[in-house]
Amino acid sequence: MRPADQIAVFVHDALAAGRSRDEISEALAKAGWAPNEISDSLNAWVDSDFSPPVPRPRAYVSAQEAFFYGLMFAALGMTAWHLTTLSFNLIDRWLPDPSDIRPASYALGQMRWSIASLIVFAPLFLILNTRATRETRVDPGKSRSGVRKWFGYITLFIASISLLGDLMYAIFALLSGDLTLRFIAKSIVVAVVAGIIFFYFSKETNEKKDAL
Amino acid sequence: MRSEYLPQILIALIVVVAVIVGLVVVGGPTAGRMEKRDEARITDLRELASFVECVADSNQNTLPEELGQIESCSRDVRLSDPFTDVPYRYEPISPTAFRVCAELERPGAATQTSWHNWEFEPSTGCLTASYLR
Repeated sequence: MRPADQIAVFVHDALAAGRSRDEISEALAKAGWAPNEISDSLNAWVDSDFSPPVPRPRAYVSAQEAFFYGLMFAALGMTAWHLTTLSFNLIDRWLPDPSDIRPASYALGQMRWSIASLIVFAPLFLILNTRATRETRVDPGKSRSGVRKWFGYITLFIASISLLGDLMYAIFALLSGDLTLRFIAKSIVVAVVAGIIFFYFSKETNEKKDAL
Repeated sequence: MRSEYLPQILIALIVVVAVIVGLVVVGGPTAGRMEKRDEARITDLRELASFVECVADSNQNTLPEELGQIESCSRDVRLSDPFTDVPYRYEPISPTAFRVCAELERPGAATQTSWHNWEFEPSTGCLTASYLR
């Protein structure tokens, strides 16, 4: 049974058994439920003497949360992607490779795109993420948001795949003699970007083991 | 400073450094406009080279001494730089080769390229063509 179902069934049973709302919230708080979860589950039932308890209609998944975290993780994805592309182009420029036949104008255009996306999406991600961190500190129940957990784990998954792929490709390059300075620099960029994201979100998703 | 903000500060720092370095390398809007003008000039040089070939074709396969509009090749071709009004340089190198040159503003951003019998060299701003008939 999911925690949300558990608490809903418990509140229903307690109300049907004639327990007062104060008693129920005290019992739930002792069990470690967050204040917003307690008030949410109590508010799911109308405060009346009618028995059995009368349910209130409620939204199934928070659309607002889906918008907020969707935007946040899209911004993170764009930032990570374009940070890597921009760094790759800079490395290509500083460590020229004669076998590289890509036109210079193409690299310049790509860099302009990356700079533009970083200027838009990096501050957006930082603002949304700061807000998420602050809200979680005020109300720990927020970190149990299913939407947030899912986006967090998907990010973690992509970061892990990038890190493993990076390592795999480095070994392949070593074996085929392509382990140039240019390649090493690019691998380091991928490792740093994916590494920061990985450690950040592994910490974030590990905070609450009891959720979902 | 709270430790939970550390990754965010790290990301912000890396992004700011990358954007600044990137801007230094690609240059601002002025550099972008220079590149656009250079692209137009390079396109003109290509048009000009095929124009010269057309003129030579209509003159018993001999390359012209200098450039000028002629009746038989009445295509729309610019003989001078549209931005500075300086005429493009035309130099016959040999009976079977010539070059057309423009003054580029940002040669570093242009690419050395070659089409069939043409070769463009950004550092000199010259398109060298071999004329074989």
